[in-house]
Amino acid sequence: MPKRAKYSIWRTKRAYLYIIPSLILFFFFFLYPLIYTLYISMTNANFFNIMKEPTFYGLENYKTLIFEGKFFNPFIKTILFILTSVPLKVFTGLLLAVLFSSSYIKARRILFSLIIIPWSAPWFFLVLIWRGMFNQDFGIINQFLRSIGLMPINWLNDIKNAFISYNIVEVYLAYPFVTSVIFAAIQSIPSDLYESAIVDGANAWIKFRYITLPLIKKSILWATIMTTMASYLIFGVPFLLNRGGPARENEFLLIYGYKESFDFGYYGYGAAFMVLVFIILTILVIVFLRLTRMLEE
Amino acid sequence: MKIKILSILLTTFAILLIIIALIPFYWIVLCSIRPYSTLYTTEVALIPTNITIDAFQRVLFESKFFIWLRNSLIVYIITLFVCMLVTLPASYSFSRFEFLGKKTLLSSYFILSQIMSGMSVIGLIALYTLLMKLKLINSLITLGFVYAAYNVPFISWYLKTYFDTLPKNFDEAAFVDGASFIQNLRYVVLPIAKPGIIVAIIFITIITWSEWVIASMLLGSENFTLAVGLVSLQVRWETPWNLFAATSILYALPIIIVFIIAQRYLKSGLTLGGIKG
Repeated sequence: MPKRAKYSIWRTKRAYLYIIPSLILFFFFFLYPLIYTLYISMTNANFFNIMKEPTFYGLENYKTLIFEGKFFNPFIKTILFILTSVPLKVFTGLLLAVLFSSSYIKARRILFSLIIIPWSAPWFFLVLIWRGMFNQDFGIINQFLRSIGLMPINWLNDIKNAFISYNIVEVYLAYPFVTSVIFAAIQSIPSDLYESAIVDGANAWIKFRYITLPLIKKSILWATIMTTMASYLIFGVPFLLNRGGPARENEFLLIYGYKESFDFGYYGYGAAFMVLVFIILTILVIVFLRLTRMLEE
Repeated sequence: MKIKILSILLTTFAILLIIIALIPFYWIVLCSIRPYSTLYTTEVALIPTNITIDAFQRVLFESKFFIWLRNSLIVYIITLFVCMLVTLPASYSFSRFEFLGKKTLLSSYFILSQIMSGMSVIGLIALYTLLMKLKLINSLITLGFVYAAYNVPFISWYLKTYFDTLPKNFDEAAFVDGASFIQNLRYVVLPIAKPGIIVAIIFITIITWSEWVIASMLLGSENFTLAVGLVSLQVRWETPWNLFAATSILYALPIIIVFIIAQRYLKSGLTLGGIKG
């Protein structure tokens, strides 16, 4: 077989021809708006002048955001949310994966496919259900609390409780993913590793600590990275539960940017905010890429 | 004996966790079949009395359900058609050719697909302004194109990795015989690539069916899709819960069934990241 000749068939400029239609579509509806965000962010575009030409503002919006500390508040809230939700998501997922892959569990595979059923439903449909379940009066959670003699909790109209609610719902939405990733890693561990450990008289903890954990470390890291990105970009859950309320006290990055633009009509200011969010996101992605590459080696 | 007790305990615990995880599903069904008068009780009522399908009847015959469904289907069909039309040749080209920038493009596609739902919010201000200036707003066709574009990164990447698994000798031979790229794709690759293409279609279906952030910005209330309509029922209009519950079940059930049937095939793509938003 003339290998070199074959290679030339596959190495060609024509390849671009077949990619260009998808690039045009992607550019027009995704990349171009993203670049245009940069332009809007340097104008005073708002609800009233958006159809005409807004005045050029330079870096005025950025100054307000950075030097008047407007960026700081939502940013800190988001960091706080990452610090609570990511460990909760990963730990819940890990626990479930270990539990459902335990050899003591009967009909493991069937039970596992049942525990990840929430994955099958559209996520915002589940968030809307949770919104009802958190309802002060007829929500099932408060009904239950009352029935066992506890005080009902004001879930969504209290700053702290709302924050807790977001965490609960986010864990509920994320655990099927985390559990599946770690479960798959556990399944791929050869069973003779455990058998020789049992011969050596290892107990369950030793087996987990010295056999399972080192072999699923990578999946845990992967799940942590993914859930961190999701938590950094959190939008839907607080938006649907109470629009980042009460009293704008739980507005994370994307919620703040969205509300400033679409609820209050400050498009230019909102766009500048989104640009800052994007810059930090890019830094996060680069750090995570380095991290995964380091582990590959 | 000790092992047996441990086994029973752990299995019971696992089943208990499954029950807790499924409470939201049970609760929404419960809300949809209870009469309106008993709905807003403060007592726990886990076993329904006086089951009624009144809510479903009202949703199907008196609400905008079918208008929303029609709108959703229009958007979905445009998305599917446009997205497949551009990503199939692109991903085949990615899989079979070597060219400058291929690796960078593919890895950016992969990273983007993991954060697409967040990116859609970041870019929403500009997308909204641009489309408004071009007078393309409040159109189901525009939304179909937007969704198609947002699916390009993941679908291109997914189909490329799928095409990579197909044996290359078939189409290589066809190329040597003088078949064109498109002929090759149409007659040689597509027939054997059906499983991968079906999975890609299911991914597009799930993503499109459950998108509401962009849609709620771009569509007026006469053009609502099911997803936006459903969010508005709750967040904007405070609809009675039994009607909301019935609508949401009618909306979500098809997608849940599709997902459960195809789960085995989807998992390889899903466990890679937060594709579902």
